[in-house]
Amino acid sequence: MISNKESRYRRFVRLFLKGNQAKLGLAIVILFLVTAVFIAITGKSFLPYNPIEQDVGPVLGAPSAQHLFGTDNLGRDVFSRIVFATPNDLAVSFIVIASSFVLGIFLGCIAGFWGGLIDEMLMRSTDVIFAIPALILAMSIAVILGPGLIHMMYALMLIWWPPYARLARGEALRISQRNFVEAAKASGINTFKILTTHIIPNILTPILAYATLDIGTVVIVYAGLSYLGLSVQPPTPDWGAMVNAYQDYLVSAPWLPLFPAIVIAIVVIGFSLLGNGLRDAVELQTIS
Amino acid sequence: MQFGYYLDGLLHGDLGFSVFKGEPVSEAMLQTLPFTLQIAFFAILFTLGIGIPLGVLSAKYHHTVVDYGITGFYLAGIASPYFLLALFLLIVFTFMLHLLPSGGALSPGITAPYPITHFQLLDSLIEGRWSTFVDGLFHLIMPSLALALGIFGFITRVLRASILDVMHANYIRTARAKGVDENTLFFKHALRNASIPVVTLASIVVTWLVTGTLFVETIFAYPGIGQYAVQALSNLDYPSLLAITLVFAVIIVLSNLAADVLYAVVDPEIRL
Amino acid sequence: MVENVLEVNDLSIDYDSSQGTVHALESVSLTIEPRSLIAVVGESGCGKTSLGLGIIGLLPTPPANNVRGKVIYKGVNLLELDKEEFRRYRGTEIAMIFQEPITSLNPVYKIGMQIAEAIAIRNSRKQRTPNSEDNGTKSREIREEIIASLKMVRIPDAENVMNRYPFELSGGMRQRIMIAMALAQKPSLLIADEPTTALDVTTQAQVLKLMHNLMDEVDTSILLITHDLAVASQVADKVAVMYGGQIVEVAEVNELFSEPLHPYTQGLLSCIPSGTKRKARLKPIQGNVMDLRETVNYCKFAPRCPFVMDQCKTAKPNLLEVKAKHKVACYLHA
Repeated sequence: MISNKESRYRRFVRLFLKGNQAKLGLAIVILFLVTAVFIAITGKSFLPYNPIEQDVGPVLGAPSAQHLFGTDNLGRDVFSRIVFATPNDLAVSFIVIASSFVLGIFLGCIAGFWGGLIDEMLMRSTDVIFAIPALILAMSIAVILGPGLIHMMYALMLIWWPPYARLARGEALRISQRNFVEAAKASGINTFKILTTHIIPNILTPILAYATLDIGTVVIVYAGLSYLGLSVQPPTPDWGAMVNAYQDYLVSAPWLPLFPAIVIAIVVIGFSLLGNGLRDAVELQTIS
Repeated sequence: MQFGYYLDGLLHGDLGFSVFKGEPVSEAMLQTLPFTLQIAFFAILFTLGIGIPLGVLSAKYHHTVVDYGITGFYLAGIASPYFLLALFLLIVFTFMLHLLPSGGALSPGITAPYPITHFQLLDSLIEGRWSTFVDGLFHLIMPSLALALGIFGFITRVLRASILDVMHANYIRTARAKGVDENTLFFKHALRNASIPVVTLASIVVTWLVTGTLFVETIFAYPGIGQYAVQALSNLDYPSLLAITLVFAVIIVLSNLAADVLYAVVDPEIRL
Repeated sequence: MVENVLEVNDLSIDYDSSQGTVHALESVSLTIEPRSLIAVVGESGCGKTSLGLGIIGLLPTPPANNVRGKVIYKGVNLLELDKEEFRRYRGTEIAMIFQEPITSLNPVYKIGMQIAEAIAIRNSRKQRTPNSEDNGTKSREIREEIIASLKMVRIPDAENVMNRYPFELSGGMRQRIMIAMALAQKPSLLIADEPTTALDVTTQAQVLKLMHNLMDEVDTSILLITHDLAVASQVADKVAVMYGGQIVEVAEVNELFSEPLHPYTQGLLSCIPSGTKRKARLKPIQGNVMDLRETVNYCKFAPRCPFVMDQCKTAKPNLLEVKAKHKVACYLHA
């Protein structure tokens, strides 16, 4: 039984690595993850320049050997700023997704399993939240809470769980109606135990697949919120905020607003490819 | 208590008074919403105009260079943050090619038409001012395109998968056995069935449009609700923000209803 | 001498698969006379569906390739035509109906419209004079034709059914509509691939009887592909038994059932549950279906044959006429 599980994972990894897009996605994601963790641990120490320090180079200098991404209007090194901001987007995305995953599965399973009034309440609340776009909603909450990275994270955590709850509920419903759950219920096993041992393991895979693709979405939404000035405040660098700050220089120094924006796009592409690759591998595995 | 008053006022069409703007919120809404709707209209047009043909092409030439190229193209679009595409278009069409204006609803020096319908394009047509109409159109192209480029990928992807699916269906085989030629087979038989899943994307598209206008209008200085919202945000104009959120919610619910209707039109099984 | 509607000469079809080339058909030959029903009988995988698809030109050409031989329809070798020319034969000369009626009709168009399309194709090919009459007459004519074709397959309340969508009708009705649609184009050959397998027994009998009766009415021959000898016995004039991609026996129906010559045919017959037989036990045929990937130089049935001789394992028997209008490929009778 143990050896069976092991070879299943290894086979999954092998199938996964077959896809070109999966490998590319994985490469990109690992690159950014490693950078994020590295910065989180070491801070500014290993960066070519201090991301906040002004006049380390010419004002509005074009990309060059000394300044890979050029310098901004205050003479700061853009490359250092972008690298330094990496943990922000990524950390927020991961934490939001993780909490939505857990919360969503929890709520969804309860609703799907028990049904009735609890289910109704869950459905209505998700309907309400679904009616308003995530960004607008987060924006409103941020207005109440005030700007800042942590506040933005809370705001996003509050509103991001509905799709997961819905997915979990649907899957839980589907599994609940299968025979072995009926049998378990009939034999009087503790409800919690049913949930954890029978239902949850079976619904994890499709929700995980959704989660990996969802990370990219959080990154985009967070970047948008940061652009609107609702996240970190200057002079701390953050990708979205940088785009906003630099967009007036679009004509004179186009690299300034473009580079952070492109970096965001690359991260999202990386997660998309990774998510697609995972999904393909899951399909391949169920076929063979 | 206060909320109760608000709801009551809402039912009477009163959205509150924006202290910052010095005018009723509903007034500001009336002035800005039509502009955003203009952008939305053309954005949807572009989205379908780019998404559908590319979906058909990538299905027809699936697993060839064309297919991979299109996939790469739309992935880049979907993955781009809301503002990237706008900035990109701005650089290319305004600053490099000097083809399109950089912002605003009308070029400076052109007077706005009298607001009869409050839709600037329609009003200029009503007044017979053709050049104003064309000028307004030119200012619309980039904002709409920026929105469309970010979302058309969903349509392309779903349509491609759907077409490939449908082409293997038994009823296509029947049609071939009837002697139907390939063109008719594709456009009449396959496409009609393949478009059904695309309708489900309607709500995603609308959500994207609504969110995207915030950024696109800011970058292009287009006087719509998006720009209004961003201003309200930075001024902490609570009444406006509340009203805007409500309006967005209403728009989305309405569009979901419209999507349901569209769904019934396309799929006879839903109709009956 | 009446010309044969169809003559298949040495038709061979290969399929590419991930595990090698599968020889789905090997040197298959048969003839179909006007207004007759020939049943091709065999187990799954014996190549009968490929035969049908090959004749009408609907083989999925990525996996299928290397189609050799001749398919002569009214004197024309269809395999020599290019795709567009071949297409002109489909529907109005050779028609085909398939096994799953549930999914074989386009779900988003009404029945009437789908039949109208078939009729329109026939009209455009017969090159009726360009329509100088008003559209009103033409559409009325077509409408009447649709109703007539539905009535021909005994569908009640044809005007109503015309305006329905496929999902509103039962499987049996859909299959009858398929037949109506195919025959509305007045083909000379109708290929029916397991048309009744998805239907219940009563409906099966009805549909079969219908098809048989329509042959004279519409001047069509039918090539009925089935795995069920009982079905063949009900309606066929001639029966061809296939095994392993080859035809092993061909005879008129009564002849085949009274004097089956090939051991495989005999085995099939003893498999039919019949309430009148004394013995209660069914005698299945021993062994497994052979792997069609191998090209062999011996009789493909030899491994399972209860009468196998040395000769059978070293050379392939040809299809020879050993009695009047009764051909068999077996060394027992060579």
